[in-house]
Amino acid sequence: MSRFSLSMMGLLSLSLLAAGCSKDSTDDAVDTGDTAEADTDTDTDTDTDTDTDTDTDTDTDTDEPAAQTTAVITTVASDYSTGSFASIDLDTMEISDELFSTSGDPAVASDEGWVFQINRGADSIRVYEGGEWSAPVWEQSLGEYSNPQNADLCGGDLFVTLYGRDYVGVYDAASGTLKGQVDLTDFSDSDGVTPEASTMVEVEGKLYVGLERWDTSGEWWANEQSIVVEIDCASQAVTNSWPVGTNVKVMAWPGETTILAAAQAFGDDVSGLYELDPAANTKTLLVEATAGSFSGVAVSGSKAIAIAAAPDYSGYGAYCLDLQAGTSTEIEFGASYLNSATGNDRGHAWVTAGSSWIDATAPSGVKVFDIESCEAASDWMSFSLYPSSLAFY
Amino acid sequence: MSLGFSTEGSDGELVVEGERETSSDSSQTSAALAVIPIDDTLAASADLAEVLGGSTGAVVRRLGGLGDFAAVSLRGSSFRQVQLFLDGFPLNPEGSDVVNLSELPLSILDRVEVFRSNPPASLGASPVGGVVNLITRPNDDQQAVKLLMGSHQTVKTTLMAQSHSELGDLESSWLLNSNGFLTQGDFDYFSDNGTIYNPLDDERSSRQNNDKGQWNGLARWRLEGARGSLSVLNSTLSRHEGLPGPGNSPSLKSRLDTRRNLLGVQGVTSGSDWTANAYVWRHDRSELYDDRSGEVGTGTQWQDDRFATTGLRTHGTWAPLSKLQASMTLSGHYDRFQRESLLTETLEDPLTRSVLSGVLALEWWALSDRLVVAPTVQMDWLFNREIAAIQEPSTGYGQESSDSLWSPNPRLGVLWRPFSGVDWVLKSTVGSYFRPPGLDEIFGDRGAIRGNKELVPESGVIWDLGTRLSFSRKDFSVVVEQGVFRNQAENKIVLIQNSQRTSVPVNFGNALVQGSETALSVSAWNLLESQTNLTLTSSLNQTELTDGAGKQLPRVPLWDIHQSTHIRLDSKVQLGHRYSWTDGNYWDVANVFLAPPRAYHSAFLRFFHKELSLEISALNLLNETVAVVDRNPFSEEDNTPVLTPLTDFLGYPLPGRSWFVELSWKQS
Repeated sequence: MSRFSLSMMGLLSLSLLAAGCSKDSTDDAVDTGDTAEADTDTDTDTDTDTDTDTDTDTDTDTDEPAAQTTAVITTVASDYSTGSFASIDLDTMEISDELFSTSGDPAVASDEGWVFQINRGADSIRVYEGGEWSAPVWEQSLGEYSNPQNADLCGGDLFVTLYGRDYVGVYDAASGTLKGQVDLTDFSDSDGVTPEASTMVEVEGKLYVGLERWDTSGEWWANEQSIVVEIDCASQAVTNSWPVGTNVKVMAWPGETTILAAAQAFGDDVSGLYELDPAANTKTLLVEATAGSFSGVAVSGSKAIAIAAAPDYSGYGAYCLDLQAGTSTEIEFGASYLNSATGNDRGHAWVTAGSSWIDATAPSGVKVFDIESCEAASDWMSFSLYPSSLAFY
Repeated sequence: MSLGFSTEGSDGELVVEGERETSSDSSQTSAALAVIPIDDTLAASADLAEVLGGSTGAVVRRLGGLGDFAAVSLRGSSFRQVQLFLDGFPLNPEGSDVVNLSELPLSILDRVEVFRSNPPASLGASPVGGVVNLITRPNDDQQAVKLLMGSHQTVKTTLMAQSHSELGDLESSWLLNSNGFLTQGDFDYFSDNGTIYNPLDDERSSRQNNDKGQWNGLARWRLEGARGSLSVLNSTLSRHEGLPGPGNSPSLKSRLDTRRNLLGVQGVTSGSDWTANAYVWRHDRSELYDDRSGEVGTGTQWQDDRFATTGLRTHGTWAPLSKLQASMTLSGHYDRFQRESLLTETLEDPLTRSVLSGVLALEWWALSDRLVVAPTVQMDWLFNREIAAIQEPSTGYGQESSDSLWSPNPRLGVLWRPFSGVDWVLKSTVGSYFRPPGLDEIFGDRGAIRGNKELVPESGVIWDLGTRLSFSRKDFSVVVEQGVFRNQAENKIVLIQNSQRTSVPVNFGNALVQGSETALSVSAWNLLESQTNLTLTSSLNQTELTDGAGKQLPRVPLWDIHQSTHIRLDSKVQLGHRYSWTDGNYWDVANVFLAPPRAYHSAFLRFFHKELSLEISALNLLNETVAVVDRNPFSEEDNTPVLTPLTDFLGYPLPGRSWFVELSWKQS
């Protein structure tokens, strides 16, 4: 009974999202039901989005996302048989571990107070209301071998990147029903499978998606150029693209309207962190990665914390990046398997470390760095399982 | 009782053919040994996996039903740590691979010998997990035709003929066996669609792409005389199968075609106080794996993997004194692996390994033959890095690397019969065992698995203590066996992810497995035969993994009970029942998911009429396919029950009730 009530509350809440409202924008609640019903009316949706964009430009205080209060972390067993979910209160740093179980290959993303728990191998996604972990608002299978990677709300719809599909799935935010596809077939790589859409970030009402474009013949070979595509959420179509190195990861640059992309060397592109400017349609190398390639970057202002694996996988390092000077300075290097770096609105980079194949005794867990000072702000915080991804809401 | 040469079995170990495990040879060896006869106490639908799974200390895990992949673990070992032999010829030398039990038909076998410790020196093996030696049928004059049909469009045919004749002072015998197996494997299973919080999309589906087609052929010829024997054996397998993938993400196109041929020649000669055995073999195996859709593994794969092993093993025994027997075993084999990528049309350079081993063993009888002491030392020398020139990603860390491995492994067995005239023995073994990394683990093999040239062998020290008491009177006999064991494994090789999409095998730490094994066998008036095995296993993960340290090893159940009963109502009717019960089995290294207790029943009813027999059998009689588990095992508050399919491997459902009918004709 309580589960039913919770689901209904969640559906109502997500209906607000379907109208393009943030969770806290209760003033707009009157409009939401109608907008959700009008999902098939493209014109109406487009108009709504346009209005929202206008608001963003003219009144940044109103649409400024709520201050982040919580880190959410997916953790995984060393044999990838199962996973778990944890959260950390950003004020008290209190850890709530083992909140619920996940698949053996979990990931997490967050947007507008909603938490998207993605089960990559299990091809499913759960949507939680932040802080309410007893049950998801909804859970949906995204189809066999869809292999979801990331999720983001844009224009009231939930966009999910799918490794196993040649499109970005567009789902009804209130129910998880597939309502559209952003076609990526023009970007498929030569293995003929999919372009492997993975990381995704929303900037100025548009989504920027990293197409890793692996050659999956036998192994996963990074022998084709990655592409970052720009997706207009309203029209659900690709509107621009940039070839960037290979094995690309995209991330937002808080306070800027440009996008950051970390990539391995390919062709003329060296391994490093690039800035993509949609307005100028340019790609600029900010920092070259000289010790391995950046697999995660957390940015605040002109500084960043990046993680990278040594080219021979003999270790993993954390680096302090100066985006203006274009420099990279090693902070620490060791056997811990650093697998993600995520920035929050407090100027901190949270680095996660999974189970190390190099040294079982190497620290794992979550460690916080102050991006501006490039210094560690915490010791390793450990969990019952090994962290695999992290997000803030 | 004499323990001389005359009681040696085909593998040189002391065995008595044709008797049940609890009434015969286990009392003659210090090894923890079970000898399982392949006879009419088994249902026609039984396979090697079922036979081994019912043995003390053994746990068999299947990916599905009849014909699906199945492998055996002994005393909590990994699959690779168990070494299998066919008439003494190795099927996976040094645990180089996992043997799929479904590839080996029962119809060619006379018995299965399961050594949980202290395998015979004649095999030249010292695996951490134990040895399973499959013994083919003895010489006989017999023809048989069997046809089995049943659920999931399963058809099994057996054609068998064997004969022997006198050639002067020699006896010549031959055996031909053809075994065909076909199944669609399309059993129904429960799927939650990967969404445990969303019951609306739960469904029962039919297993797809799970068809198996397999043909086994065995030809054996023996020539035996007073001074020795010569035996030639050829075992052939051709298997074509769909790989169905996990239940929630089934694959529809992935295929695997396997071809295997084992050609072995064994010669035996003996004198008044010595005997000598020689084994020569060639084992070829080809696996054509087609996953061009990228459904099962990481990435798309279409490749032909070819394995070949050529080997020679000699075993000599000498009894210089009436109370002392010495033996020496020398063996060597050359392994070769080569992959052809059909996707890229490239033939990779072959990977090779040479292995030499020597075993020295003594057996000493004392106290009027009531005490037997058997020390053994085995030395293995592996040249397994001779192709180090191949450029694999350097791990740049860890173990010292060398071009060869050297591993001495001593062991000791003691058997004591406290009282003459009473069939009661006490026995104990202690020894060290090892498993070197396989070629695939060293050099990389399957797509997303990187090789690690710095791997060192897994090793272990096994200790066990057991007793066996037998009582028989006229047509009634009872045998009780009780033992305890302790396996301390070191340098376990496990797969660990090292980057986004690749994993690497590493030596990761230790594990302790200890437990108790109890077996009770009852035979009464040629009417009833009953076998009950109880295994209690306590396992401890001694790695330094955050999630696994100090916890129970996954897929090593705490309790395992097997009970089989066979009744001969009269000369025309037989019935049998098998029951298994498993509990305390974690599915994962972190011990998050505790599998619910699982009970299986199977039964058969068989009628005889002259040379014909008709059998009706059922597997999973009570149709157990799902279990109820907590939706959130972490939460004490959320006790919402959800259904989950019963599995041996997480994600691979097992079939429900299956019916089979077999018509058999046999002429002796």
